[in-house]
This record gives sequence, C-alpha cells and structure tokens, in this order.
Amino acid sequence: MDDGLLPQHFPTGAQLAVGVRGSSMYVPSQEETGKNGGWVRHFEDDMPFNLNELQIGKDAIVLDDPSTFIVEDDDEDGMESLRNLQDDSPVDDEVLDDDNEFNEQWKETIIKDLRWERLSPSIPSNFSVFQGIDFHKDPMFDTRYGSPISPQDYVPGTLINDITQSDYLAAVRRKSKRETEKLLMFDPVVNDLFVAGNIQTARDLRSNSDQQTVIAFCSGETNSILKLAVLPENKLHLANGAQWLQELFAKNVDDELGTFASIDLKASIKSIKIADVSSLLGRCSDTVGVLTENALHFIKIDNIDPQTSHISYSMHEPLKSTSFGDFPFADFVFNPWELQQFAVVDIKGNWGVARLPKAIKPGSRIRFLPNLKGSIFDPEELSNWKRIEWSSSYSKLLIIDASKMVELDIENDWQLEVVQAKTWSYLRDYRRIDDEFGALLTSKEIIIVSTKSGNEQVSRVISWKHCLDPTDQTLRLSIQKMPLGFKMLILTCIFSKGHDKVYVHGFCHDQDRHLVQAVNGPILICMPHVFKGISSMHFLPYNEEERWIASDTQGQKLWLNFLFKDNSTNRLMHCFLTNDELSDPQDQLFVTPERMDAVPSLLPPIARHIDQVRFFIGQTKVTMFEEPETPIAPDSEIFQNFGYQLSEAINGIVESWENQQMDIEQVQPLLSDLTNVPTKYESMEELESLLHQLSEYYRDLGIVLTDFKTISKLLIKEETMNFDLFFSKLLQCWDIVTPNSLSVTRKVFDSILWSILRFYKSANYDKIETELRESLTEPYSEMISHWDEDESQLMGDQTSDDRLIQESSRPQFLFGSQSQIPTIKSSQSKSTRRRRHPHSVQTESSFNVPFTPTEQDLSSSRISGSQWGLLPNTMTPAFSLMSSPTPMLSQSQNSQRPRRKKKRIGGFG
Amino acid sequence: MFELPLVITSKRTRTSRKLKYQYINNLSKKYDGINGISNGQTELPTPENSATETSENEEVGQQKRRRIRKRLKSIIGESYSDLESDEEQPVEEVDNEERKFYRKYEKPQLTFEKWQCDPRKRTPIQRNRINYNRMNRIQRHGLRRMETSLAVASRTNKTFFHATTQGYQLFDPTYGRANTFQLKHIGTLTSLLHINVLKRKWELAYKCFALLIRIPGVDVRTLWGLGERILAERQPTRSLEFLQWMSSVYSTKLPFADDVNYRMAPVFTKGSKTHTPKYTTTWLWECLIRYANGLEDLEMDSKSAAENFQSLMDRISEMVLGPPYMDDPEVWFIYALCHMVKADTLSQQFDPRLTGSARDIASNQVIQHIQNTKSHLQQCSSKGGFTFPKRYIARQLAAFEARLYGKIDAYDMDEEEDEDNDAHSPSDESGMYPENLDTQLIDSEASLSD
Repeated sequence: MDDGLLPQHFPTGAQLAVGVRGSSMYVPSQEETGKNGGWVRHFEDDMPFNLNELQIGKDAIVLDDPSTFIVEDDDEDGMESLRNLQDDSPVDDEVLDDDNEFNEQWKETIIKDLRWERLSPSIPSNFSVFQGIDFHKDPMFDTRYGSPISPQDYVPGTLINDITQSDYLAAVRRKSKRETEKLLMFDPVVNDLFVAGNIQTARDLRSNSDQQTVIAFCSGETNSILKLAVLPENKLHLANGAQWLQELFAKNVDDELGTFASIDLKASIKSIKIADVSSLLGRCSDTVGVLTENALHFIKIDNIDPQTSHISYSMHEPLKSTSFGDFPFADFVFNPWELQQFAVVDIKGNWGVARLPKAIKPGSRIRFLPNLKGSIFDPEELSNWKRIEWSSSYSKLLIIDASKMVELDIENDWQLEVVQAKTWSYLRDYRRIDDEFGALLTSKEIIIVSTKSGNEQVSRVISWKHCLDPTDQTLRLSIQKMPLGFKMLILTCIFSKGHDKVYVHGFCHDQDRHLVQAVNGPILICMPHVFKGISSMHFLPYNEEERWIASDTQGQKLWLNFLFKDNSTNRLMHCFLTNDELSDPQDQLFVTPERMDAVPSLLPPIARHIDQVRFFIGQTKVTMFEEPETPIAPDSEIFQNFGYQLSEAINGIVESWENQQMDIEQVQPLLSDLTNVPTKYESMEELESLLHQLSEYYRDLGIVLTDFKTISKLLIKEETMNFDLFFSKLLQCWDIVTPNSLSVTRKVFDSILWSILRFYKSANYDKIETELRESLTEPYSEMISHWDEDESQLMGDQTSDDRLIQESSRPQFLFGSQSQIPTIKSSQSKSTRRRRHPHSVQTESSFNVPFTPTEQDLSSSRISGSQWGLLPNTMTPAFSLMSSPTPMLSQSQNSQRPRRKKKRIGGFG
Repeated sequence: MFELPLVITSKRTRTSRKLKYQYINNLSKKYDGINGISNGQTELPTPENSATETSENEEVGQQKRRRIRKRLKSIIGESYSDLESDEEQPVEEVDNEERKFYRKYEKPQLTFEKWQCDPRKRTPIQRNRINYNRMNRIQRHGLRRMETSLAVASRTNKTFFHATTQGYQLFDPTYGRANTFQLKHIGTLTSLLHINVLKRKWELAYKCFALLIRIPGVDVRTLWGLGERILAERQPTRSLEFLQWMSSVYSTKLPFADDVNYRMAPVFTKGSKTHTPKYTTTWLWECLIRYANGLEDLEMDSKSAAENFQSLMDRISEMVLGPPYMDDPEVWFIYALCHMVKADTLSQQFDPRLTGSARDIASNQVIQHIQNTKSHLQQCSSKGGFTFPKRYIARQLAAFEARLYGKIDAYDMDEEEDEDNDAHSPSDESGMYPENLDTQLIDSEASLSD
C-alpha cells in the first residue's frame, strides 16, 4: 500500500491551479510541544524560498556569435533602398568613389550600432579598415557572406507549392500588418539549439579532476556549425553574474585565437544534447550528441586544456538516418546509466537502441542493438514531434509523441500506453529531472511524474494548470533543480516562440522524495532583447552536492544563470534570476522593469527604429553633398533671427492656450515645428546660451522647456547641459563608423536637439486630464482611478469602506452602464433570429458575430434569470448579475423552451 | 498568451479541423485494413450513454417534470441547482468526421489525459516498424479520399492541411480566430487578470475579474480559480461564499455523455454524476481548513467558528447521501478529517478531573468522533482511487483516545476501549512519531480495513 504523506487521488495525483490548493493532511495538535493543529498542503505557502522574490537580472548580455550577424530579416530591403538613395544623388560617383564605407562590413557595423544598445560599439579584434583599397562596385562581386538571412527551417516541397512567396513566408517575416491572419509553421523536430552541460573527459577521470561546464551551440548561416566552448567552473556562481561571460565570449570572437571548437556538420542542426548521467555513476559524460537534418553525430571530447580551455575532440562516424529506417530521426537520448548507449526515435515513432564503439577507430561503427527495436507508430498522429527519454531504470524507456506517452521495458518485453492525450490536451514537452522524477508539459498543465522504479508505472504526482494558451504549439519546458535547505526545488520554466515571456513555476520535494509540493505562486518573467520569442532556454548546471548540506536557507542568495536563444536571430543571450537585490540602481533606469505589456505590439520597437535610422542616414548622405557653398551669415545674426521668430511663435501659442480649447496634440509643441531651425551655425555655445535664456524667460510665465539634462542622461549616461560635451561624445561613436563623422554627428545632434525640445504648461495637463477622465464610462474610470494607487493604501481603504463601495456600485450596474449584461430578452431574440437567418445577422450586428451561442452563453443568462432569487443574501455583488429580479423570472420561464432545442456544433477546442 | 475563458469557434477552424480529422480517419482506416484490425472493437462500450440515447423521449419528459419540480423548490427557497439542462451538449450530425474520431476515445473527467497505471494492460513491445512504402500507401489512400473536400477548401485551409499532414506544427496561436473587438477586449482583460494575479495586485485583478465575468460568452467556470484566489486575498470569507455559490449553481447530477464532443474539458470546469467538480472539493477543503484553524483559536470568537464547523459537517453529511459525492472518496476523506479535527479539539479540551456522567459524556463524544473518522475513512478507501496516510491517521486517533485516559494506567483503558471500538491506544507517547511504532501500525491498519 502506497503510504504517501499527503492524501491524493491515486492515478491523478494532486491537481493544482491558481486558487486550487488541493487536498491536505491534518497534523493534530501536540500537547507537549504546545503546538496547535496545522495542515500540510500540496500548495506550500511558506517555503524558505519565495519564488516571488526572484527577479530577472537587469540586462541580458548578448553573446553574439561573431560569424552570424544580428540582422533583421528585412534589412536587405533597407540596404537596397539605401543604395538607391545613393544612386539618385548626382554627386554620388565623384564623392563616393573612394569612399569605402559601403562594403558589407560597414553596413553591418552601422546597422548593428544603430540599435543604440551600447554606446561604445564593441569592435571585433579582426576589424580592419581597408583604407585605400579600391572596391569594385559591380554587384556581381557583392559577397553575401553575413548577409541578412536568418536561419530557416526546411520546408517540404508540397508545402512550398502552396505557399506563395507573398503569402506566407515573406509576409510573415516582413511583419505585415495583418499578421494574425497568417499561418506560421515550424518544424517541431527542432529542439535545443544550444546546450550547457557537464563534461568529464577520460583524462579528467584519470587525474581525478572535476567536471567542466561546456556549452555547445550551433551557428553559421544555416545553423550547420557546431561550436563548443568551456565555461570556467570557478566563475559560474559569481555574484557579478554576467560580466565574465561576456568577457569569455569577447575573448573568443576570433576563431583562430579563441578556444571555441568549431565543427562544420554540413547539415542544419536540429538538436544538441550532452548526456545527463545518473548520479549513481558519480561521473559525467564526455560525449556531445548532435542531431542534424540527416544524421546523428557524436563528438567525443578527448581533452580540455585546463590553462587555455582548448578543446580537443574526435568524432564518431555519423549515424545516417538511412541506416536505421526510412525516416529521419526526431530525437535521441543517452542512457544515463551507460555512457556508450543511446536510443533514437524517428519522426514516425520507430525507435531503436544503439551503442557507440568504445574507441574511435576508422571503421568502427555505431551499431544498433539487435532486438531492441520497435515502433509506437500511430496513424492518427500527424505531428513529427517525438521525444524519447530513459525512464526509471536501465531497461525502461519513455517514448512520447503529441498524443501519447508509452513506457516500455526492453528487457521484460512489455509496453504500456501510460498517457493517452487524444481529447482535452496535447503533450508539448518532457524533461527528465532525475532518476525518479520527470516533468511533462501538456497544453494545459505542468505535471511532475514519478518514474520511481518502486512504482509499477509512470504516474502523476502533482500537476499545475498553467492557463497558457492551449493552442500555442511552441510551448517548451526548461527545468532547473537546486537544493534549498532540506528540500529540493524544481523550477519549471515554460517558454514559447510566440512571445518573450517565461512562465516560471516551482515544485519542491523533501529528501526522501515522499512529499512533493508546489511552491507559492507562479511568476512571469519578461525576457529582455527578445523580439519574437524564445526558441530554447537552458540553465547553467548548478553544483548540487556542495549546497545540499547548507541548511540555512533563509538568507540564501540565489543566482540562477541561464542562457536563452531568440528565435528570430541567431543570438545567444545570457540572463540571470536572483532573489538578491540588484545592485547599481542607476542602471535600472535603462531597463524597462515592468515591460509586461499584455498585448504584444505588432511591430517590435527595434524594427521601427531601424527604419528611422536608415532613413536618416540616407538623408544625411544626400544633403551632405548637395549643399552648395552658400555664404553663411555670422552666428550672431542667425541666432538673433531665430530667437526672435521663436519667441514670437511661442507667445502666439501661449495666447491661444488661454483663449480656446486645446486638443491633446497641442499640449506640448515642438520648438522645431514653430519656426525654421538654424542649421548653419558654428558656435554651439551660442545656441546653448540662447536656449538657456529662453527657458529662463519663459519659466516665469509658467512654461517649461524640455530639460536637455534628461536627454543627455538617457543617451550618454551623464547629466550635462553642455552641448559641446554631448557633441563630442556622439562624435566618438560615429568616428568609428564613418569618416564623415563630423558632419553626420552634426546632423545627428541637430535632429536630436530639435526633436526633443518641447515646451509645455503644466496647468494644461490638469485640464486635459480631467477632461479625459470625465469622458470615460463608469467602470473604466473607476479602474483608472485605482490604477496607480499605492496598494497598501488601497487595501486599507478597501477594508474600511468596503460596504460603502459595494452599496454605491450596485445602482451603477443597475442603471444604464455600458458594460451591463444584456438582458435575457435581447440575447434571446438575437440568437433565435441568428438561427434562421445567419447571413443577415452577420451583416447587421458585427458585435455578436464571434459568439456562436455556447453553453456559457446560455448558462450565464440562465443564472441571471432564475438563479438570482436563489443566491444567498451574503453573496458579493460581483457574482450575482445585477438586474431587477422580478421581470427576469418570467422571461426566463418563457425563453427556456427555444433554447433547449438549439443544437450547437460539437468538437474539441 | 493566456487561455481565453470562452469557447471560440470560427468557420475557418471548423473546416480545417474537419479536413484534418477526415484525413486522420482515412489514415487509420487504411492502416487498420493493412494490419487486419477489425474496426468494430475499437469503439468503447458506453452503457450510460446508450441508455440516455434509447430513452431520449422519455428523458425530455422527465426533464420537464424535473424542471417544474425544481422551480417549485426554488420558490420555496431551497437552494437547488437549476443548471442541469445546460450540461446537455449539442449533438452534431452523425457523419461528422471529428466525432467519428473522438468517439473512439474515452474522455476522462478527472484529468485532461487518460492515465493508465494498470500493469495488466501491458502488451508485448510492438516490433513492427513502419516503413516508407507502407506509410506512402496509407498516405496516398488518405489523400485520394480527400480530393473533393480539398478542392473546395480555401487556400488557407489547404496550407494548414498540407502543413499538418507533413508533420509540421502551426505556430500562430491566433490562427483562425475571429478578429473582433470583443474578442480583443476579452483577450486583453484575460491577460491583465492573469498578470495582476501573478504580480499579486489583487485590487486590479479584482476589477479585471469583475469586468470579465460580466461579458456575455465568458464562462466563469474557467476562471473560478483565479476568482477564488483574488477573493481569498481581499476578503477571505467572500471566497468561501463564491465557491459555495459556484458549487450550488454549477452542480449537476447528470451522467457525462461520452459520445458528445465537448468544447471544454470537464476537469476543472464541470461536474457530472460520476465526477465531483473541482470547485466543490476546493470549497470543502478551504472551509475545513479555515474553520478548523478558527476552531483551534480558543481566544477568538470561537463560538461562531465552531458553529461554522458544525454546519460544514452537517452539509457534508447531507452531500454524501447522493451522487456524485456519495462515490467520491475525496469527499468522504474530508468528512473523516472533519471528525478527526473535532476529536482532536474535544480530546484536548477534555478535563481529566471530571467524574461521573459528565465524564462519560465528554469521553463518549470524543470516541464517537474517532469512530466516525474511522468509518468514513473506510468508506473512502472502499471507493478506491484515493491514497492517504492510513497509519499516520490511525496513530493520531489512538493518541486522541489516550488523552482521555491521560496519566491513568494504559492497560485498563485498553480493555474498555476494546468494547467500544477496535482500536488500541498506544502505550506511550512515541505513537506520535510515525517511524517508531511498528506493532501499532499493523493493528491500527487492520482495524481500518475492517
């Protein structure tokens, strides 16, 4: 008899969700200790470690792989337009002839740095300026190396025929406005494109040295180059988190000097794995497995030089998928108890177990074990997504496809379909936690399954309903476990290719693994620098053995380092989660800390900026050479004129403010909109003092000009009013990029200055604000009024004035508020009519079209009708529907018959 | 990025699903044909269901009668669920491909997937691997039967079809979703609701929740967990009321029809004749724990807490008289725990200086509760499918009893007890600790399984 510590349904385990805390066990009071009775719950409220304290490190360090440039997909077009712009300008040939800045490398540098992510661009060590080299302008010689083609998945021929260029692929990449209309496909076989794991080579074992953390990732234009690098172990858990990582990658920029081992596999990589060896063996693996389009490669790491971190490796003969069967591989896994053994599954569910040769000699091949082959093929399963994992013991395997999980025992010759997910949900991912637990992600839940060998079968232990969109098929899981005092915390992170948020939920189990609980509350983290979504994510290995003893967890500071990969670009990024206080408050200004915008903006901000910048460069180029040498008036004259015109214009506006209604756009006019701004002046100090005087003067009138300090702080991280200083800083940046830096910087400076200088009168805002607020309908204005309030204060108010608020909110819902539930009568007549004339209704009221009358529809209206009288008097108004009860009753009685007859279309959501 | 709290169907998704399932059905039919699997056995026997089908006319009449009865009851003021008829799901035309597909599979009510833990269901490893030729044959067959329906399908649906049949998956979550203002509104509110709950901004979350559940089409049954959480943070008593309301309004005693295509999984959202809805068990658990904690607090206004506790026990005792609670081990377990808590409190309050009938009454009360606990636990384990720490509970119960006889010689009491019930009291206090007492384990377990 299984005697768990907590009561639970047997095959189901504990099912938890937000607000569902599951079953509990009563711990009676004990007289001798004076303890009152308490409860042990599945949902643990007070853990020594609070998930909510975890915050994301302030800046993700972008680890650029030097061979792949970070370019947006549509940059190519941008370049084209840039080039066209040059062609149009008549002076182009003469001036630009010896100009070398338009070779590819320059373009990249410009585009890269125009993102304004870092002010001082990192210059690769192999950077050189080809001064004096005459470049051939013939486009035939335009090399496309590093051209902006982001790695793409393979698309089969039949599909290509369907997808016209403008329709799907291209349009999707170009972020068309009607993006939601487009189909986006992905190859579900593509799994982790990088992995971080522990490697212990044979030599390490002999010399009794510890394992080293190796990161393996793919790069190259077609994702066909595998790179291996060593992450120095002693620096893994340093509090300064990321600096060393960046340095490591900076050091390794150059392939020649760096320690990255680079292997060209000549086919795009689909999955990389480092064997996860059972802790029983007390060692780590030395093999990296790579699944490519057509073969399985195994790289044995022979030695890692402790000084230089140079990796020497040898490769097994690749295992072609044709040697296994007729279909390409979908997944593979190393046997955690035997380093030489691995299992593969192909896209149709055929599986097999194979063995690596002991030594790598020419002619030694990977051999499939006879009799250890089979299939879980299911004609109803269309998706290529398959997973294979080792279960609790040496002979047990788990094979997973989107609708089932099969456990099989290769020694005792049985298989069992443990999970059948044909109806409400689909399996999305599975990760092995250790020899006894695994984490299964379905479209609805995260399930911790127990694969204990003591149990007969894989069984559910505890599950958490994650409420993420069940139709998102790109949901994947990443897990990290770490000891916390006497408990083991398992962090499960769900990420998707569709958005940049990561859903983190924690589970914990005690040392003898009986009590598995969920940790308080999930959190949502927004990944920085991600534009489309996250394709893979991995935590760096955590050194468990050392920390297990540390029982004092209360003050334990955690630094969870992880790497993740954006799916639109080929960048690897580093970030960390911590419950430590983030140092350096100054820097926090630059992070948008609460960027959890609920509605993803259609256009990622960066793309917008790039367009603007590109346009600007083009313009600068044109104007730079167009300008004839006109006689320039002295500065004093220019500024005098300018100052005069400006003050005239400002006065005019201020007067108009007094007199008439203003609309929102006029509240803070740009200075540059008012009059022609001077461009040909020479002395910047003059301008500075002019503006200074201007602002001094108008400040007395209650009009405020934009403070230049804030802008300079944002851009150069220094508060300065000094234009010269600002200018020289800008110049430094542009100097690297272009020889015409002086004029470009001037242009940049001008446009920055004139695009930010605005003036406003604070009194105006109040007016507009009240106006807007009054125009809102009741529920919204109420919401707005609560929006920014201090929570603690709000709570205080709430509890004291609770009754009052409810009383006052009641009549509002009764009388004519916009969001009131439609009465039974109206919804009824509509739905019945819709049945008869579906077309006419669609045109006449678009508002109701999306809702086919569903059971909810009915039930909600039913509640409002007949349940009103049944509600307890103490019921909160939020759940009872506000309407006068008497007419409703009669209506619902009348209307029950037609509704019941209605047939709805069935099917699974 | 979050699940919308309503069922969305659009013409496009419906057609694309139809195509997909038509293809799948073709494939599996051909596959079965090749492998010589006869078709008749794959369908599940659904006795409950066929019963409802045969007596459909009768059912309608019955429902009408039932409705009238309920109406009368509601007028009298009895709280009674009126929503059973809503559980009636629409039935589509019989030749629906999707239905044909789903009819083959059992629809679990307790979990989203069907979990199989019975070792007897093991089969020998399937050694026959699928090869290209056979696969190709099946696929060609599947496609040939699809030609007409594909020809009339829209291009988007065709692309969807080809992508899925090639083993690719679709990436766009909003695919096929109608692009209306109201859906956007619901989507935004849902995201705000989730995010504010995750950020623990309860006031805002409450506003979102209140707005959201008033939108027609939004089903509060998909959101009740969030609502419970929000209310529990704001006003704990309200959350209990909410759960009570949920379980009284959305309870049903109708059987779960297995051949109907439901759009919504019943796991967290529905109940049936054989499935206690999750909000009911959550409500019971929350009530039990909160009232029990109130009961322990003797300084506080313990009277109302005790009354609450008593009313909870009364309610459960009524509930277990009928389905689905009658057969739910979890409800029985909660009932048992109620008595256990009660026994704990009473045995603690027991004054050993009492004599005579007062003493008998007090000790009888405790023993009554202990016995009830045992019998309910027995009920619970007889229903099956529920595990709980039996030995631990038995040991605790014995400890409660030992309190009654306090410092008096344990042996005398043992005899007296044996007359009342079969339990043995522990000879020392080490019975509190689960690991120490082995003899006790066997005895008490035996007494439980009687």
